Amino acid sequence: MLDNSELKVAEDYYLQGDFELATEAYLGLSDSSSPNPKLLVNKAVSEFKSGNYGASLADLYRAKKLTPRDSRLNTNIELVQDELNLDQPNLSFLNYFTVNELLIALLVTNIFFVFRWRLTKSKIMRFFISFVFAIVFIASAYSYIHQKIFNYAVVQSSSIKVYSGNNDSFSEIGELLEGQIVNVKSRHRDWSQISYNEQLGWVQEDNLGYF
Amino acid sequence: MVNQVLISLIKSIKARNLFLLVLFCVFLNPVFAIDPVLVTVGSQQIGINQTLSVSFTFSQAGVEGFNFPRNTADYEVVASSSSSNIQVINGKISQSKTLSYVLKPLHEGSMNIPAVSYSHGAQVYQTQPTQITVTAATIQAPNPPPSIGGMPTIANQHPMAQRQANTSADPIVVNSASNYNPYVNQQFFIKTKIYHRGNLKGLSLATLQIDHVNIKRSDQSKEYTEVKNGLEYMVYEIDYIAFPLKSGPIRIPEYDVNATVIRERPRNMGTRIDPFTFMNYLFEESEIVVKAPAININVKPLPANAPKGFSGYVGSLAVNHQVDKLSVNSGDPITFKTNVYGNGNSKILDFEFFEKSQLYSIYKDKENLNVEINSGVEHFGLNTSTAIIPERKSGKLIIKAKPLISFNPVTKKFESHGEEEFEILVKPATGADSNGSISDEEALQAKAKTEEFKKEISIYSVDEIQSYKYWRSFKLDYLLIFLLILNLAYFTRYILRRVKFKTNEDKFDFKLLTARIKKATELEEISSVIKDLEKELGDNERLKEKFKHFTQETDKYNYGFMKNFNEAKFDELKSTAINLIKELKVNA
Repeated sequence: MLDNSELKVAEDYYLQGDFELATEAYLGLSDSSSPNPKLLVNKAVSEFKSGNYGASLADLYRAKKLTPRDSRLNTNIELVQDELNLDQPNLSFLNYFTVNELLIALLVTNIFFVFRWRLTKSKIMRFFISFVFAIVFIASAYSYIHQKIFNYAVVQSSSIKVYSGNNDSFSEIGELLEGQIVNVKSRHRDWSQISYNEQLGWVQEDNLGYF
Repeated sequence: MVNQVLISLIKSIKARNLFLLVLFCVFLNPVFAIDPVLVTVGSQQIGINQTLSVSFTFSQAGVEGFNFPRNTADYEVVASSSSSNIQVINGKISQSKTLSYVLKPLHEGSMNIPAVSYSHGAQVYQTQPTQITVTAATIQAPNPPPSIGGMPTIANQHPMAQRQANTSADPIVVNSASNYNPYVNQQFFIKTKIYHRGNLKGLSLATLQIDHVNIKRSDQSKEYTEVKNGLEYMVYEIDYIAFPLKSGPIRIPEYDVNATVIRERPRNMGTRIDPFTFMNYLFEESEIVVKAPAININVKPLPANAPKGFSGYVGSLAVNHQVDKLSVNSGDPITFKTNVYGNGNSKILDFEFFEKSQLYSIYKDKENLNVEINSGVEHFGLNTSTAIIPERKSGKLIIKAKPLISFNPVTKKFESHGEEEFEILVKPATGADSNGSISDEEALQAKAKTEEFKKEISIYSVDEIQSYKYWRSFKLDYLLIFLLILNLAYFTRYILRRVKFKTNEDKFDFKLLTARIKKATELEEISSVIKDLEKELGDNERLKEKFKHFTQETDKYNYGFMKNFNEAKFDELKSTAINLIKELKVNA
């Protein structure tokens, strides 16, 4: 349960313009409580006002996983992305439902699939029901697996180098800018393998915010 | 005999059902896993002036993420402790950890101890929420100091167990101020610390009243241990929040603290023997008065260069106005929400935030004031809304928010807060004539401004944050995996059945076989169809016999052993073959 007085302290810092202190206060609150998307949004906004756009975007996407259709949250994402002026992948389809909603969809389709023969005797209707459930099931399973695995991350520092291997003795193959969203393929120790310009590259995890 | 029964029982359970049962047990196991925590609550009913001890004992090592809510609307945690216990039984080591909290109720009625989540390995668990009844103050124990887990006070144990305690030492009271040189109206707090050696049973403090000081007792008392002059004391701390109302020296005089302590009973042999108080013969309770020392405060005057409109408020202050729309139809209200936060004396602030004007009417709601104490400092948060209705028909309307001027003791400067101008576009009321109507360009600009306002990056309020309820899905994951496997098993079964059925249908395409026989002009054709089917008959002996009899008869005619073959016989055999196929279809 979140402490009202601590929330007010964080809000005070924000309203007084102490955005770094507000960020720290919201961080402390989010660390000690169960996930709360609105708290993450407040932290993200404080980070945005402090100039940490990458960290802000990562927190907003984390919040989006919990409340994907929140209009204020999505407006904030648009504003941060506008500020960053970067081409970003469109993740709206994959993040349109929460993990809980997908779980319910999967459970319902499973139950209906198991008992589908009792719903109707018509062969056409049985085929149609099976087809609809199969589509819902596949789409939900895909989104669920996508959301359960941390396969996207935001660059949180002003720029990071991309290497051809998982340590800095490998050759540099490029650079990523703050706020850029990358698709993470695998993680090894402190390094993440990402897809970069249609090839694979490695970046240090310290500079990435996973969501 | 028993073995035979068991074997027949196992044989009767189909392998598929057994597989599903095993899977169900494996995947549902975590859902019904036993929580590795024991929650102990001191009492189900307490007085408002009493404290309640709550302990969480973890029987397994590796519990993580346990965060007990320390301050809620129902209680505050005044003391906490942790202890570990290792046991070796028959060479087996078991370890447990206990977290203890002392809670002080904040109101009468129901006190809710919420569920606390924590993780152990890959599992996440939750403790059961508990409701405690808080009754009115009890007479027997005025202001009892709460006991710290792991260091119980004598009041909570039998005197016989406290022989080692220093019962002769009376409590010591020490007073201090957070700021001995505050400005006029600047908040400071007086800290009263009562040091005792575990022999303090009850406490009664006089109400502090000081001229020219607005003073009140903080309801957040604390208890902790402290080493003083080489001795470890238990300390009961009470804070008073004060606002000095005029400059100059102020003396907070010495005042009495009435305490109930447990002392060793004088050992005179002539006292009457009371068998019912036998266990208490070594100790007795005594009422004593301890003097809290005086404190001298020197209150500084505020700088002379106060700007016009200075309210006298001293401390940090933040004012924030939010408007619900920037474009409005004439006669419709515009709502401003105002939030004010600070740590000064809110009573001296003027909450008429907007300048009066002939162009609009102001209707203000009642202020909603909340006060919280953090780290001994009182913070207030005030929110209110103001509805403003434009009088003019159309055009631009400027609404000015007045500044709140405060003195900041940290920067030692006067500061202005909340001064803001709002440009509102007033449109003619719907259905009104077009006198003074705005141009399309102005309307578009107003729309763009409204959109811009709506798009401003913004935070959620405290209430909005609190309204979100997180719903965990960890247990459903296992159920889902189980259902997925069940689903897969059904699907596989369905596919296998389809494949098998299709093969049989090809083999015994009764319509096709019947048609072939009906179209046959030679006996050999009929005979070959029946012979092909005879090979696939399986264990059906009766049908086998019939098929065999038929093929033997047709063979006799085919090989010329029977001379009386004619068209009537051919039709008879054809009809027999069709009947055999029908019989086969029924059996299939």
